[in-house]
Amino acid sequence: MISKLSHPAITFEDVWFSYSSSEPILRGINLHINEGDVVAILGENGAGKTTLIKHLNGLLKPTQGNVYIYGENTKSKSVAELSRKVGVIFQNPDHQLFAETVEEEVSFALKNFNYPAHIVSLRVEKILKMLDLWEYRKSSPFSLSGGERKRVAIASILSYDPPIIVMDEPTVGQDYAQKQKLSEIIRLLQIQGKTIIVVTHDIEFVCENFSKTIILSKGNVLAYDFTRNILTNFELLLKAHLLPPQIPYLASRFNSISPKNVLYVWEMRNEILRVMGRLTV
Amino acid sequence: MNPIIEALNLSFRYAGEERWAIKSINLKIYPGEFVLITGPSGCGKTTLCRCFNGLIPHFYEGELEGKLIVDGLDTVKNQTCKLAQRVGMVFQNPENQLIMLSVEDEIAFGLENLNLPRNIIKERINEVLSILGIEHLRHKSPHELSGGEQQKVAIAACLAMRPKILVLDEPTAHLDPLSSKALFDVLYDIRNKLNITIILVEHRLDMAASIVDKVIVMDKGQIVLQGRPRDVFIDPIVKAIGIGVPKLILLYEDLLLNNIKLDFPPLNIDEAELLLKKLLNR
Amino acid sequence: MSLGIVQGFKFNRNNTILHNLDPRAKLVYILSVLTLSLIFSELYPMLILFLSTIPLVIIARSLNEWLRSMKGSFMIILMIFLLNYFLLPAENALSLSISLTLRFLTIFSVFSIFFMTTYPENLAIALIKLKAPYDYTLTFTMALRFIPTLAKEAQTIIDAQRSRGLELESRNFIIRIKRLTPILIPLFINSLRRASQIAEAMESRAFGYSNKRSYFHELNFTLYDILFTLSCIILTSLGLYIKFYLGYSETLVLARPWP
Repeated sequence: MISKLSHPAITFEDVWFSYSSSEPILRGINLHINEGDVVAILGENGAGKTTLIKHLNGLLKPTQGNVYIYGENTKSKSVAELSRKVGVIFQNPDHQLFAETVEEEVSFALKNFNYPAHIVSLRVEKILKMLDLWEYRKSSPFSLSGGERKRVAIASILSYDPPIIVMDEPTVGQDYAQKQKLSEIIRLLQIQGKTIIVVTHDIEFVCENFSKTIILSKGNVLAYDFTRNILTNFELLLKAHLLPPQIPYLASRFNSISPKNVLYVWEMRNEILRVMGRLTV
Repeated sequence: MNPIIEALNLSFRYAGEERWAIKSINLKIYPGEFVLITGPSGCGKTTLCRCFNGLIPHFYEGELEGKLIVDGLDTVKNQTCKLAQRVGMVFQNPENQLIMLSVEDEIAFGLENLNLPRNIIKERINEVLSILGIEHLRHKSPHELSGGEQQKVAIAACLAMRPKILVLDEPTAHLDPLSSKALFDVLYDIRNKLNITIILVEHRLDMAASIVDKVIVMDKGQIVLQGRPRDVFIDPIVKAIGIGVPKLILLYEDLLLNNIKLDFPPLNIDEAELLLKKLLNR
Repeated sequence: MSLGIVQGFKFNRNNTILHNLDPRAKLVYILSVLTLSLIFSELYPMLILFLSTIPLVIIARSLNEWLRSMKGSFMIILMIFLLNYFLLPAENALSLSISLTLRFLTIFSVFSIFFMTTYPENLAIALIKLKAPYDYTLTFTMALRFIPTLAKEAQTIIDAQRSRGLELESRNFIIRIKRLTPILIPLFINSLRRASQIAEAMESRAFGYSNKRSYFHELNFTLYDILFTLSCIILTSLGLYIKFYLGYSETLVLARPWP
């Protein structure tokens, strides 16, 4: 029996990509993401994040190099085939909602993948209940609020339970409460053992939810490391045109406090207490 | 001093809806103020914005109660095209508010609508391109611009009409943090240079908190709190309704819980550094 | 194939004499060439007319796009030629089919030159100067503005739906149409939403404030425009004179080998 750790779920092997004869968007990407990893991809606009995502389910194929999903080269697979393993949730739910009811919308992917009817209804029920959408199952997706439509879009991908889940900028336009809900969903999926990749530029969101982060800049992977190491490395963030998170940045102004130890508010508080002599380390 | 915007028991319900999008809004905004309106999704902030330039009730149908006076004009009795000379509005989606093929034409559009002579239009275009530092974008088409640049163009197009009030509805929603910061810097700058009243609707409180004079917090269609940023953000009601309080305020409160009182709640890194250094040197 | 043709009609931002000519002068040019291409159907005049458009393409520095466009329309050209070759009376089938093909190419060529060298903003102003109502020219300009946006959105929607397992290829025509529904509905709804946002933005910038409006761009007929227009009119008159007054007729007749 092959253990889960022996095959990385996603491998990028020296991947270059450009549209026809223009500038390359991806320049030699090398990446291994293991099954069960929960990774954030940070980068400024134009760094190549969305292009990278599209290589995960075959929407784009590398101009040079290879992308492997569970060991299989994406060049030999169709988008539909790859989508069964890699569920991609795009940024704007309004770019995919089309059905008459939420139920129909969420069952679209399941039907495309030829699941039998009774399984479809079971799965739809399960996911709608999980995302607090069951009461809207007969409503039109267009009658729902922005946050609810976002959840329908998420539900429509999670319904067929792909092992790898990718989200493109899920926090854009979301208020605090909605981001909390999103964090819950990610945590739930993590417990289920899914491999999760989230592209975002929301640094605070990354702080709260991801143990590992990839920094993408101008088509290159600048770093792939533990979030703490990345978000406290200001030189790296500057190079990638990213703003550092507030708390570690504040810490960097004090000689006696190391930003590396201070990602969260409570850590900063502890460090302050320590320096004041009120906390024994 | 008289308020430049005054809302008296303002309420509005969209046609065909049961609940009131905004209810019994009472507020006074004075000339030159930089006001932040925030609140969870659905609290009515966008609805309130639409009232300021008359889109409600003239573009959006529904039931309006109460009164809103903007620069001396009653918004019910005056059409948006008339109010547009006093109130400029910048929308969330950068792309869909730029309708012309070049930046220059975009800025000219509003001025052409007002039937201003060509030499004045030329002058104003030069003026706003310079104020916003986007002279190099003059001949570009909207497709060639980044989100941040598009928003700057939208602001320029509004400012060219010399409004007294500028309203921005979540202008950074689609922008990355660096572009957002640049936008806030620009707003701070133009408020000081032009002495214009700015109303900003935002979620990104970390960045916006330190540049505004007044914060209005809304929830479920009503104003629940208004006041200076330092006073508002430490009020427990803000967390209770689910607003993302700036991290530095959270730090201030956490320290309080541990019996450490900073002189005042910091709104930006520089203030926080000052306060903490003072604390640690005691 | 279809993409190649489009290249010849896309505006390019070169700064040439042709680009700086008033669109109205260029419209006169199109009318002239159109007239000449219709009154003549003989081989030599058609050849001269077609070849005369090429120097203009070169002046406009758009030779590559023009060639690509010609290549792209190869199928249509071939079809026109073959249809005429086989259906016309045998005695002048070859020469006539060549001239008719050349007529098509000439008309294609001048429209291509027009669109490649005319600033869309200037075209809008030209239409206004020609007394077209502002609302229509605005609609035209905005369509040009938002077509690329729409195209990008369509691609995004296609990507999103393919990621849910939608397969767009199918041998069955009806199934292929049905599968377009998840693409067309979001596209349509987003367009409506966009239209509403655009309208809001326009109102917020005082659109509709007054019946009279000023125009930032001005179009003045310069000396070049006058000379260009006059040349076109003179050449057209010359052509009409040669054809109808002097009674020009075919000098080169090529027949089809079989009746």
